[in-house]
Amino acid sequence: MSDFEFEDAELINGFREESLEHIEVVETKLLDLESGGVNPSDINEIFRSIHTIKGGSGFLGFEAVKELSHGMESLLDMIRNGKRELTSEAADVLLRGSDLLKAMMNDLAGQDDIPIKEELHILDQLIKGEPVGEVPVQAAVDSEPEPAPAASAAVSSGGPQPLITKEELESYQNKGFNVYRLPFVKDGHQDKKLKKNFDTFQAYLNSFGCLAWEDGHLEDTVTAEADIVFATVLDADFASASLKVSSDNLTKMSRDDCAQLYAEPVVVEAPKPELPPAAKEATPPTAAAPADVKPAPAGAKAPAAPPPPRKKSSAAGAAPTTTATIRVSTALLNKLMNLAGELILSRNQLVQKLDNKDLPELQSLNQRLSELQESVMQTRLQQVGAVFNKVPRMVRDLSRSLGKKIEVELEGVDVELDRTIIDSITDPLTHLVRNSIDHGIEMPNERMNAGKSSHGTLSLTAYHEGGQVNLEIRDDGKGINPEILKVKAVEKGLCSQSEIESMGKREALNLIFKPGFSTAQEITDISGRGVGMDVVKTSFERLGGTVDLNSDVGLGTTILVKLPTTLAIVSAVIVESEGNDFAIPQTNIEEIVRLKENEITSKLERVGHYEIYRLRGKLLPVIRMADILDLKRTFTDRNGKIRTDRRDNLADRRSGEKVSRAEQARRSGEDRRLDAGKTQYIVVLRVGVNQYGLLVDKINDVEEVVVKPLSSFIKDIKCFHGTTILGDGRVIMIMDCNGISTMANLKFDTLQDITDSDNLHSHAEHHESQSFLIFNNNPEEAFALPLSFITRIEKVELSDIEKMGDEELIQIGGKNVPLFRLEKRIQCKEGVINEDGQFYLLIPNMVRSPYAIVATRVQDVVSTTVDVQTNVMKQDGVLGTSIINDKLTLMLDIYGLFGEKRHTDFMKRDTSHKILLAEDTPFFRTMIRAYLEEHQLEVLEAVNGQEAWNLLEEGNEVDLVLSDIEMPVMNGYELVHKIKTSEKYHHLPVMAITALDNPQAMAEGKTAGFDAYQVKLDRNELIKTIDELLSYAAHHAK
Amino acid sequence: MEKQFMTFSLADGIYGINILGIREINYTNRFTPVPLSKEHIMGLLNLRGQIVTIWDTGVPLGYANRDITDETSLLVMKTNAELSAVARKNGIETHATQVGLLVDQIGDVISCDESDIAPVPAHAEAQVAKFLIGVVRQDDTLVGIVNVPELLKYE
Repeated sequence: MSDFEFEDAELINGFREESLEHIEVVETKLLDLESGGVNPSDINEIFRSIHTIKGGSGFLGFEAVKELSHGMESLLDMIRNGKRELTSEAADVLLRGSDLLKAMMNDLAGQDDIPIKEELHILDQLIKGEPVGEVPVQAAVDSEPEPAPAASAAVSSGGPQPLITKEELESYQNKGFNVYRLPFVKDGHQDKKLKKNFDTFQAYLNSFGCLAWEDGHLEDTVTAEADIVFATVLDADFASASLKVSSDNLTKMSRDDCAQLYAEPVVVEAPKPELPPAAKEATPPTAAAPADVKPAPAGAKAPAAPPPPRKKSSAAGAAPTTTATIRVSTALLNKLMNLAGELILSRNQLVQKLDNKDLPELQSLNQRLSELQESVMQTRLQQVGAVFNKVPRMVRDLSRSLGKKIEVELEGVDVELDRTIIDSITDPLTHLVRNSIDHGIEMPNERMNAGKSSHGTLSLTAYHEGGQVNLEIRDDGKGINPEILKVKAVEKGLCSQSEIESMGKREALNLIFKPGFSTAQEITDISGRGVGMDVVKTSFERLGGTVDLNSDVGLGTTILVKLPTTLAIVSAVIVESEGNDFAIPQTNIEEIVRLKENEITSKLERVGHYEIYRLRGKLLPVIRMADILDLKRTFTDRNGKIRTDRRDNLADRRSGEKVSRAEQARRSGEDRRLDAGKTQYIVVLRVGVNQYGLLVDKINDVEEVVVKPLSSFIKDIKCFHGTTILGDGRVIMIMDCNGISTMANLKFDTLQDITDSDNLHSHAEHHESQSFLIFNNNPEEAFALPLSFITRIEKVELSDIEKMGDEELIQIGGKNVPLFRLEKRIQCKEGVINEDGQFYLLIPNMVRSPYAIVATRVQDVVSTTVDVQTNVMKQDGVLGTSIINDKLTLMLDIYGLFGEKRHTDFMKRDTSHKILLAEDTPFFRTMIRAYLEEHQLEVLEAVNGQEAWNLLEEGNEVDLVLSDIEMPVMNGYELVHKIKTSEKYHHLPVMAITALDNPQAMAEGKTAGFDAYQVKLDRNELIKTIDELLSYAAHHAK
Repeated sequence: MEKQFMTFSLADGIYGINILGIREINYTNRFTPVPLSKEHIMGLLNLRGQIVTIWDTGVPLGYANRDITDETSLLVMKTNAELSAVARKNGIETHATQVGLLVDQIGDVISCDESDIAPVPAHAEAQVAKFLIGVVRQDDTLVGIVNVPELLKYE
């Protein structure tokens, strides 16, 4: 070991970092060569890397490093000159050599203690061309390979002694234990107290940790020193105190270092045809008795020599090729990133102050800034290959130890992600890969029995999609059975029996992400102790990503991870709810749907607990932003200020309880928003593979915002991803779309199942309300017409009226439309037009000839449940009266108004006929009933198809059925089908009345079985057709 | 050793905080409430580009939410990293992040000796006592000296 001055520390650091980079290159290239065949340029590169390390180590006086790298260099030299072949033993030892070099780099002070003798020996043998196999150190004869993972067979004194298995040590590390390597001076330690011999010492150590490994000298009476490796929860200070060593002597071991401890001496490869017969004889008993021995972990090769895993990389190549680079500290890069972000904010504020003027200087500033921001972001981008490239090595080692054959395919290694994201995904990705190897891919014979190839394939793919980066980990192993997961979940108390019964396949598969879950038949130490998958999921979610798992039993498993490309600056849409602004990252937004005033009640349907919107045939669960955030209801007071609506529910006042809005609404069962007269928006969000909608009041701008992390006091609130400062200086919250769906407890699977069974109830059913237009002809009288009857409202002047004889006409849309004055038709006061000569025309639809109704004042649009008194004030054109807005209002009948002359020559009825009317809208029901009754027809009402059917079944005798098409529970098509296919009722004439007036709908109606099809609502036609049908039926009955 | 405290009132109580931990006093009330946050978190404030979390100082000390008046003031605390050497030497600690303490009314700065700080009286509620370092008598009132880092651990 060399002594160094303080100033040299930087030199050493530089050497270490460079060497580590070189070692990475060596490792990757070696694996490439193993699978792809010897390639001179690759060999050269490896050679150069090792050569550089050797040179540097020699210069700095790191003897052990120099010795090992020298050995490797010599072998490599011979290989590149063609004098030696890159056999798999050679690759093996070179790989292990680079592991050791890595270990040494991480512990330059203790490099001498890292055992390299075995590797040196093998290198020597390979260089000399000797058969590899006789390792003199090995006491090959007497040691029986122990099936249990204990000290490997080869070890005797002088060799390293692991005292616990590699997996056990790893599990300590997983639990957060610190692993230290320290020199154990026998005299020093054993002097104290009872630590007279090794056993008591070991017991002492194990009382606050675990003695994991010792370098073989511990029991020696010859050497007075040994190196031990110790795992403990204590941190360095405490540990050094308890172990009675100075903290300088304590070296913290990384995972690689620990793995290195178990790099075992070469045990002969399973019989390979090329091996000279001499070597075969020399093989230790391991090869001889494969049947008795369970393959020792990290040890003997499986009976059938597994071919090394092949790695297919994309064209860009496996490792990031060395280009002109410069080393920059990440702290500096982060600072640059922050500054760029702040610059953007300042620019936004400047733009605001300048009132968005289009200055050319501003334009160029904008452009430069955007470029700067992009470039800075690029510096933080790293290829995902940095993580992917570790996988082949891991797979190779693991698969060998398990005796499985696995091929690795990598695609998209040059896809770039923010550095911080790359750092954070290494661990969870590793876990997922290990899972695949451990539990996914089956043993070769299992695979063959199942008719698969003996090689399993593990593929990792990275690609861009929709502003995010997708990582796919796919294996063609045995898959995961959702049923088993369900059972396990109940067993572990994670779910109730009833919950799992309603679970779809997707949801059941995602049970694996629940904390406390593990289905490994044998809980191996390699992976899956139930601590894994939920941690994996939260790791990805914390980065703003999602994880989804899909699997088919017998075929394999696919895990899809979606990650945002960058963390810091996002484009966000600013939305408003109850007067509060929020930012939603644009990458999550699929589209925005506008809901007009009355569509909110009609288009939001209810399914179980959810509200649903039908988006082009697809069912979208909708969450109301104000409810999920429990926003206080606001209203604008007299002075124009927004104030909180503090009116409570009566129930709350009584109990004194603080009740959230959502809870309030649930209790009252009411629609929480009575002002259906507001336009609202549904922001359709994508979360992983699912979508849902967020109902907000307004959509404002799109802004580029700098994401500031949530402060520690609010970071637990799931629905927020971060905060930001808008251009005008306000702080607003940035939503976390994942978090929102979690908070709302959206279960996409169950949703799909429920709606598949077609169990939808229209929201409108709860209300039975309709929109009416309230207007005046005269200030003293109010009239009401259903809004759906009115196409348009035009504002006109007196001077626009043209007279033609007796008629008043007005030009609308190039046509001359006659004016209709209410007082000419019905009994009411005369119309009084304002002084300014302005008035309104209501253009109705659904009438034969166009007319324009004069209205002197349009009051309001009211959504209300209709309660029409039909007996009072009845006349042609007036259905009846109703109290709307506390005023007596005349409900107009549009058909009556336009006085298509009443046909009086209707069928004379001697017997009173009974009509079964199925119509869900109360207004129409009332209106049609009125017509029918006028013509001496008795009416039996039903609100939907089901009720109509029930009425029939109850024994009600009817002569004709009149049915709407669009109805909840059972629609018109279903009703007519039921009637026409039933024995009892098929003789009944069934007529459809509906608003659907296109030929296709009519044709559909006819095929469904309707005898006649009427569009709402031609009164005369209606009665005429009824009469026809009735007489036809009567005729046939005879 | 002489210590100086900024005094303020919360409803009918008087409290004090060591001035070494205070960065500035502000009178703004234009902050953004955070939906679903706990009762004592009033919201977030943009202070010259930095986002400060605003606490209702009264809540951990047992007071219910009070209305914001014209007198309401904000004590913006320094972050731990911003504390001066003197402050650190005096054992002052605040929080790793930007925090502002909202109080009902700002009072005067009082000086007193360390020995003047008496332990919290036994009849004080334990819940509140744990947020106070001690009490100081000022004229005929008791000023509760607030233990800021402890207070900021309130959940």
